[in-house]
Amino acid sequence: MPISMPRLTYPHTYWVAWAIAWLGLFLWSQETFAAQSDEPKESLHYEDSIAGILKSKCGVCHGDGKQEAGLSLTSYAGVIQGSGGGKIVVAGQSQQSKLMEVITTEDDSLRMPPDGDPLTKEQVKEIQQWIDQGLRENAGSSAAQMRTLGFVPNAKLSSGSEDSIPAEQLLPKNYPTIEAIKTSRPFPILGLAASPKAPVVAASQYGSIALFDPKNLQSIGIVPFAEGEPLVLSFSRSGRLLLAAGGKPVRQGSAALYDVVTGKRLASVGDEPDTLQSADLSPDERFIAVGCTSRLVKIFSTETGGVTTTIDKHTDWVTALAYSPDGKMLATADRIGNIYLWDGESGGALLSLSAHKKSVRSLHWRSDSRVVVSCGEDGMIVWWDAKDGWPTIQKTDAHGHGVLDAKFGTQGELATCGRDRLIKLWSAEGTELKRFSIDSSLPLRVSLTADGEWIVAGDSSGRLHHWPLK
Amino acid sequence: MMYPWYLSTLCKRNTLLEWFGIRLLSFSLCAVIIATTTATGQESKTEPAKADPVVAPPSFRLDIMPVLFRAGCNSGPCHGSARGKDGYMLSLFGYDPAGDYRRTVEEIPNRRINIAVPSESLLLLKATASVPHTGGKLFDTESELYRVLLRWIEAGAPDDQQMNATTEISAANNSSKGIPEVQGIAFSQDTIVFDSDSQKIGLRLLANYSDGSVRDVTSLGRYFSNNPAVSQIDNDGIVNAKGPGDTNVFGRFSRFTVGAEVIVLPPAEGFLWPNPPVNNYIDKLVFDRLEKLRVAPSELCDDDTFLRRVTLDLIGRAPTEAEFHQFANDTTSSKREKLIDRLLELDDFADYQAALWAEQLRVIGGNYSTGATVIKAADRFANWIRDQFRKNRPLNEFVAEMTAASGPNIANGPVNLYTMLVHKPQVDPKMLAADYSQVFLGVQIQCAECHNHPFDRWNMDDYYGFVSFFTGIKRKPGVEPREKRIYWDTKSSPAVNPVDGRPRPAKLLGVSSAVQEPGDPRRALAQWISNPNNDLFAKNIANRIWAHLMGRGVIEPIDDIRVSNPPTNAKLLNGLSARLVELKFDLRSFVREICNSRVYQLSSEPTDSNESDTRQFSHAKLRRLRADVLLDSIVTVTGVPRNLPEWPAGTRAVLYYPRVSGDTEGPHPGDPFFETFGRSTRGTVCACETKRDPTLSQTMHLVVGDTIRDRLNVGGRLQKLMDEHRPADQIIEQLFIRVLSRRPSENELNGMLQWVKESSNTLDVYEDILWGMLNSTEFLFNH
Repeated sequence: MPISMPRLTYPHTYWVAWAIAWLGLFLWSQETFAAQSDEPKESLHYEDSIAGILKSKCGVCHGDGKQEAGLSLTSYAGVIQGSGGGKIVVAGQSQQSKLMEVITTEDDSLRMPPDGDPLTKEQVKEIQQWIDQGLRENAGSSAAQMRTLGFVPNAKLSSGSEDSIPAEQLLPKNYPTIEAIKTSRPFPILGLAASPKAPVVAASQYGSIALFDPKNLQSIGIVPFAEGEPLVLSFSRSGRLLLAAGGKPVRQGSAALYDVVTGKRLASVGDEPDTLQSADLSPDERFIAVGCTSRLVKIFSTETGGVTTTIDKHTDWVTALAYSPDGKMLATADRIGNIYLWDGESGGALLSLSAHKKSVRSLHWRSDSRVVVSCGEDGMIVWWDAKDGWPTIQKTDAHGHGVLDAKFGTQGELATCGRDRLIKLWSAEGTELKRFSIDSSLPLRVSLTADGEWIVAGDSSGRLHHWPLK
Repeated sequence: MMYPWYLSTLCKRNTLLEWFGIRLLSFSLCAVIIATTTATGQESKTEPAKADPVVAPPSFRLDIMPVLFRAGCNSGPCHGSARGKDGYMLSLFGYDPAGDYRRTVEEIPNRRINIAVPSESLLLLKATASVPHTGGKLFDTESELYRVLLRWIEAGAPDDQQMNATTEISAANNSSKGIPEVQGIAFSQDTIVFDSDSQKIGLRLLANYSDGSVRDVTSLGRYFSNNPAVSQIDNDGIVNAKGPGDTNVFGRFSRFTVGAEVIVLPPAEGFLWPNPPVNNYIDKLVFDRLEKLRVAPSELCDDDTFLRRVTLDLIGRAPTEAEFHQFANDTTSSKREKLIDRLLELDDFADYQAALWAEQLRVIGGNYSTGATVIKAADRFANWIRDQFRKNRPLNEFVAEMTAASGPNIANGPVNLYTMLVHKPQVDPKMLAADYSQVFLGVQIQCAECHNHPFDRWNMDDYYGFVSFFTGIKRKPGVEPREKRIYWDTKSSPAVNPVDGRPRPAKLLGVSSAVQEPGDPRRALAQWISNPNNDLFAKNIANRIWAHLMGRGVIEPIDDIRVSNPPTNAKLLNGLSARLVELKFDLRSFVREICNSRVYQLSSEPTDSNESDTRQFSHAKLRRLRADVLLDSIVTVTGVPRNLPEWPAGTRAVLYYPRVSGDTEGPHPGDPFFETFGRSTRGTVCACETKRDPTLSQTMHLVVGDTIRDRLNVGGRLQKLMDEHRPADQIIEQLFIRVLSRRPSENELNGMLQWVKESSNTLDVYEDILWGMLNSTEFLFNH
């Protein structure tokens, strides 16, 4: 560190002064960090506020001509791209951002800029706010993905101790009372999911999600989904979390994670221009994969809220996706019937599964991760062997005019529903065991409860139906 | 429980009759207002009839489909495209309401239609451009279209099928089917005559429903004008006069198109009807129309012009010197009639007509054709056609015999309709149906293969029913190696309408029920096509013959007859068609009357008032000679033959059809001259295959090409004239008579004599003169 060497020769008195200043700065920063979360923030943009600071203070060394450490700070793209050592800003996380560290550090030898005056308090505050607000480039850009509410993925999963949590501890308790938004007709049950651990079923409403007891269909809590229509619902493998994804058609799309027990929202990801069509939470709870009408699959980190991987293989809406319970694979499907399997960790392509001629409506994994089922508007259900992509069982006319949903139960049995207004139960070998019908409305979604005792369906008139299986 | 839309939720009794009562009442109100509106009048505004929102939530078919139509959602460039647009598909102009309901309401639950929060339905947000929409903003939230959609969604976006559930209602509806269907539409006026431009008038569009009700659908129709320079029509049905002339404006609703004739008169001042003499019914029909339009017909053409015109039209070449003198020397008043009779009796007339039909029926022959278009079959077919015309077989019988023909195609000429009309290794019933309809009916029914014909009355059922006349036609090997035996396979199944997947047995166009007789349905088709009451056939044939003689059909293009392409003079076409039937489809008699009409014999020199007319036959149309007629005429006037590939020396160009020693590799004109001058390649049955447009390569070919260069003086007529040592003025006069069928004017003669005098090589001068004449528009055109 040849540059910092001479500074070590400063007298001790100077060090004391620095220590005081350091303490002061620390206190100030604590203050401002605390204060900023309360005060109403004006929206800051790179072009209006940040570009000027960075160019004037940093541009000489990190500019177009000279790029120390491979970093350019004279363009938005350069700031976002970061240096040779990695990213310097993390949307929504000024504390985790290298840029904030180097402009605020008390270590004279490390602080940037190395020469000249440090950034003023106001400038530091602006940069900090700009990062926390999501790194907007200009007034027209939307906030980058932000981490929210400090969600921590469940690290205990691999130990298997999760199984030991009794089912009654995974039931909603004392949810805050909220009013469901009144609609002129009952909202169709676009999303439906049963907890794999506890007797609880989640069903979408307009602007909220209702949780029910599958035995009596009594409501046991409502959580708000202010983003609009929750199109996709799914519980985590642990039964601890509920994932909801949806939005408003051609206006907004995002996904949210809730604590099933408390009803609290833990995280939300995505700021898409259209309703999310499909979503799933990885078994280790570190990722949320979503399928968009933009034909993209985006995988968000639940920790940072940022996009970690984008899959652009699909050529139409991504209508279904699901992680295998062991987390090793991700299956995705689209509106023209293509299905792909990806490596759940790296996102690398594994297999292409082709059988469906029309839109795939649903993908669901068997609990042993060896079989994934797909169903579609072509009326077909396919049980795929995930090892080599072989269509082990193919039911070509499972539901006349189209299959709308297919979900495995814990024992490998399968529940499906379709445009023929039937709900069917299939054995693990693909034999039709039972069928139930509803009149006048379409059964849009179906689920099997964790104990295998109930089959639950939601219809286009907003009604829930259930039938005992034992 | 949702109540069907027609049930009042307030009072549970049948209100359907009341609802239609309301519509009928509004209609009568409109009728009164229309009656009080004068032709010069202002636009009248009446509220379109609509159902009381409390009594009747909108019906998908009656109210919502028209909105999708009016707003253009289901038009071709938008969601009506065959594969939809941006993932949302509607049937083009709404031929499939059930499918449209499914795709709009059910395909993606709650997205396009949100019955829980109606105003958030994507259908509404997109149409009002509240969210990004490729098609932009179609209407706003204040519009009636929006309100109807919203009311329908608020009512739960019901489908109409629910109606069938209640028998009580069906009875009251007088229809066992439930929802009434549109059976036709009409404008409040058929004809509008404007005295001057800048006038306007409002048309109302009225729809008749199968339950007998009539609804004013002016605000739901779509409108267009065939000639906006004469008259325009706006979205509210208001017709504006723009400039003198006649045209048609059209309204569309449901699967129907209806037209109204618009005449914008030129100023009456200075116009005097010349009251020309009338030779026959044709003159009366054309002159009535011209007088109405304040257009004066031209004078009669002179005798020389008439001789050349009628000879070119009837026997396909320029007159010879002898023919010129024979006609010129006849001093009787009936000399033109006698000339026509003479020409009609010639085999040349029958052969030329037969050749035109052979061209239309795509006769072509090859030695190794993969289809059945072998040379022997082509010759057999062409000879059979020629024989029919030589013996003046009635045209309906001629077509009927081909229609019902079966058997081996080298032995049996007429069966080659099924090998020549569509050149393919296999029989293609769809193409056969399309081509048969286009040639013999002038109707392009193939538009209805994928959707109801957007601008005509034909729907998909009509199309597939018509295809079923040809689905049983099969080929099997005949006696000779390259012979094919054409037969009807009784085990064949009829064509299937893909919209509902149901087969449509053979059904005649415009007939409501399918052919009942078992076996080959082509017998019924043959009977129908030759039936004197078959208006489609008679009109098409009359129009085709008229177009050949006049250079323009009363309907143009001649093979695209449809509601939105009406005749320019409907009475004339009706008159011609009726006369053809009266004459029992006797071609010679029919042609004789046309040629004897004053209209046929009018000069091409326009008058002040008819200069801009191209549609009403007020003066003769200048027509560039067909490629084959031009070549035959060049040979006739130069006296030097021109051989054609694969044909005996001396064969006339008009009789030529491609005979290829190898494989018949697709359509081709057969000779470079034909290609340059646009002779039909027989690639399709379209009348447009014969091209009459002048091109630069035509000019270059005549100026420097071998066709004329080799015929100026190679033992031809010119050399003969020189050998006779005639005086210069006689030679020049003879050249004029030969090439242009007239004597030179004094100016022309004197100028040319001067050249001859000044030249040392007189043959060169005469060659130059002949060359100049052959390159003149006077020679290249029938005038």
